[in-house]
Amino acid sequence: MSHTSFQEKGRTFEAEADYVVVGSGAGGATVAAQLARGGVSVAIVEAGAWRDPEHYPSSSHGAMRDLFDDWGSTIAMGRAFWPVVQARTMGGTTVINSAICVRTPGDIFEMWEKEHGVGGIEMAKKVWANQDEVERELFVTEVPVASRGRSNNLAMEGANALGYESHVIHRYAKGCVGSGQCLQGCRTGAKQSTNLNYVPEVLAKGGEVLSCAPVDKVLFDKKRRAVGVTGWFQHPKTKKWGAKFNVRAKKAVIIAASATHTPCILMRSGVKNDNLGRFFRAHPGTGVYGVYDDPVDMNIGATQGWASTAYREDPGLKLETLSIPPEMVITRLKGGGKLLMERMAEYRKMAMWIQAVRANSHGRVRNGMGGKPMVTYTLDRADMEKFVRGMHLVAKTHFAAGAKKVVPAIAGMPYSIGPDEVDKLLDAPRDPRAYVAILSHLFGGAVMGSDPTRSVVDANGKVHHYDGLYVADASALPTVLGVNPQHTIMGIAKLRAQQLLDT
Amino acid sequence: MIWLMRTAMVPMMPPRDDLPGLTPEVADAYLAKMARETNWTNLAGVLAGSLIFVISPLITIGVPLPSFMLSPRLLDRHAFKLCTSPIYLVQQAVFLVKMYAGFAWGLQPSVRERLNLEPYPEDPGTWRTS
Repeated sequence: MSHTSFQEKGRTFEAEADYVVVGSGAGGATVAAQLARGGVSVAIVEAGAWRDPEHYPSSSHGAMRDLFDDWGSTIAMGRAFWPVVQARTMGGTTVINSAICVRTPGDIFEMWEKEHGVGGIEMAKKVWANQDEVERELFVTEVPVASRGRSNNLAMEGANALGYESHVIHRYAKGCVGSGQCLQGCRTGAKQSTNLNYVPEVLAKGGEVLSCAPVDKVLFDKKRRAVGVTGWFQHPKTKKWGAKFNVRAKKAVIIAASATHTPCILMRSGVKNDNLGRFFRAHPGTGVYGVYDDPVDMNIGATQGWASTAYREDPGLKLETLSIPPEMVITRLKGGGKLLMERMAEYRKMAMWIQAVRANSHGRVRNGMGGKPMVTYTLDRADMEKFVRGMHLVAKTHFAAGAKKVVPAIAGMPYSIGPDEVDKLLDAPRDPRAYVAILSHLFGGAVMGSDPTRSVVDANGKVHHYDGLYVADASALPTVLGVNPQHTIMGIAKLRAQQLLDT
Repeated sequence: MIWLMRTAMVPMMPPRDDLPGLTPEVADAYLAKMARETNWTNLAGVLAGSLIFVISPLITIGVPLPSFMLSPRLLDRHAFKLCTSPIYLVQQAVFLVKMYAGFAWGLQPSVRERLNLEPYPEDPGTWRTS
């Protein structure tokens, strides 16, 4: 077993395994661990550095520097510029997310079968069985009462008062103490990101792990069969390029580098398919602050401990709590100068709850300068209607929980509104530029489907018209889910490994 | 370069009652580190946003002076006006300046204490090398 980190320029680093997996997040690490359990040799090639909890940063600056992909500077460009949230570290985005575990809804498999010729009940049964296993392996539990914090409890009270379904979140976490540091990596080690379990398991089973090793291209033989990957090590601090690496695959190459990087790697590798980079989708979301009479201290307690999927189908929304550090709150509040500080002085009394849209809009990923993904994406009118409805729902929930005012942070709207003014939010602008939103939960770019003229990979994740080349991450998902995607990605990644081991 | 960024950032987050603001000293120390560590696109964005802050008082408050020559009262008005500009590209440029100003401001132990939070420990900046 061996782990190889950054290598200075010089001799080319060479390695070989039955299967080479690019990426170590929810998709990559899961497929790699499952393959390793099957007795085959596996190499994981990860672009980011391998950081354990003792290496994790605490500050937002440190998180951007050490954990986020290129300082969080990937922006979805369209009518508005919204940041794309994803990590670049061993464990991928599982290191910086809130470890929320939600089973794939049955309607998703039905929709995929009807619209894309993949999925169906047979796939659903296999994925759900795999999700059972993941839940046991990664200690999925409800957020403990002692770790919920006041913000999560208030949200539950608000939803109950309004009479809609909501629940305490289940997460991949073992002994969460509610340190409110999910987004900077869990320094207590409670969060079960894949750098702490599946990747070490691959190593323990004799696998090879490369970190600081962004893949440039997939290598092919003359018969369009993927035979490995190549790239150059990159120093995680100085960003200088190091030695070249070649990792040969005896059986197959599996790409799981994210919905933005997977299509780019395939494009750079010369894979020909008109659908590559297309049908990029997301759950765009934003927060609404409630300001309460007494301190909420949203940074005490689980970063995300409450959610509702009551509006997943109509109009297509997911509601959640989310605590973010004060330096990020001050950026999102309107204004500057003394008035901004006066607003920020209420921080302890604020709770931030968010809405994320199950958006049908889709965009495109292209290769930009230096291999950086360029994303174009705009929410259409129908999705903006959902977006506004989500803002209104979250605001109503705050008031039902006892907030004295809400701060919607919408350009062109008052800074705050009172309980009697909540319906003003229904008239909020439908222009995405009025909102400070983010794109999390990324999907598509190398979508799965039975028709090669409308998709990039088949029902088994194999790239159409290429041998030995597979995709096992969210880029293959042909639609959004309306729920957090990590569990779906993991369930399908396990399935990919089982299919490969059976062939 | 650091002077330009600090000139824009400090007036955005002045002290208010018992909430500490971003001081020039803290800003300078943070910006030296940030300029070393961040990528060129972010740095270019912050510099562009800072330049807009310095040269725009004529547009925001009708005073034909650079921001660093304004009285404290006018500077505060300018900071607020620019941060709530209706022009989307200006909003975006200023947002990046405000984000990094926020990062610097939020690192201060006095700010975290006021907000009932433990001081941030040093970010180790380390990783597995073998």
